[in-house]
Amino acid sequence: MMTPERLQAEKDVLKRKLPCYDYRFLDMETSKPYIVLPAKTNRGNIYTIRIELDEFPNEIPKAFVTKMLKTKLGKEMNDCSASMHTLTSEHGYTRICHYGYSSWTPMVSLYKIYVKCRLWLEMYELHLQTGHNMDYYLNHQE
Amino acid sequence: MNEQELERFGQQIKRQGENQGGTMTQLVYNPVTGEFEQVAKGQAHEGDVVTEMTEKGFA
Repeated sequence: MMTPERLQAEKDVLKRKLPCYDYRFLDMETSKPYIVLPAKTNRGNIYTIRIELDEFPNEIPKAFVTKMLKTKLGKEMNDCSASMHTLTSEHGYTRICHYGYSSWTPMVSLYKIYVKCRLWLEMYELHLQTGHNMDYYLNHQE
Repeated sequence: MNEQELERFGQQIKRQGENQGGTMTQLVYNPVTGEFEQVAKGQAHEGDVVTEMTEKGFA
């Protein structure tokens, strides 16, 4: 669980970096707090990113696109897939694999996770266009 | 971005991942426009350089 100081720091960063975005911290007084943020791709499509905060920042937070996305071939993106940078879905949402354990530190901000999710969405739309798996564009961390 | 521009953008991301610092472009996220851009190294005027996300591997 985030300390009040860390939560304020995250809010300050988001306010400075995403001043026009209607992001919301939700259920913050419960054991399952999360934040939802809108994401508009370069192509103009709009998604919502949900980042769960119950173990943040000490553990890698779960990040989802709040819908079940499908591959170019129509398969639901609901399982752990290295080639598509996804993890097993929850809530009926596609879960993004955004950081590996080797690269995670508690210093990573929600803003940075958000930008990675935005990049993932950009590559997802390229996958829909070209048919290449997402790891064609996005390498795996060592 | 049209489809050709997006594919070119994707190929730049791919090259950055393969070359790990050897490319002449940087990936920039501009939070004002909400868009990613590829710019020549040292030419990023606005936004956050996030090339490490491609060069060091995504996840």
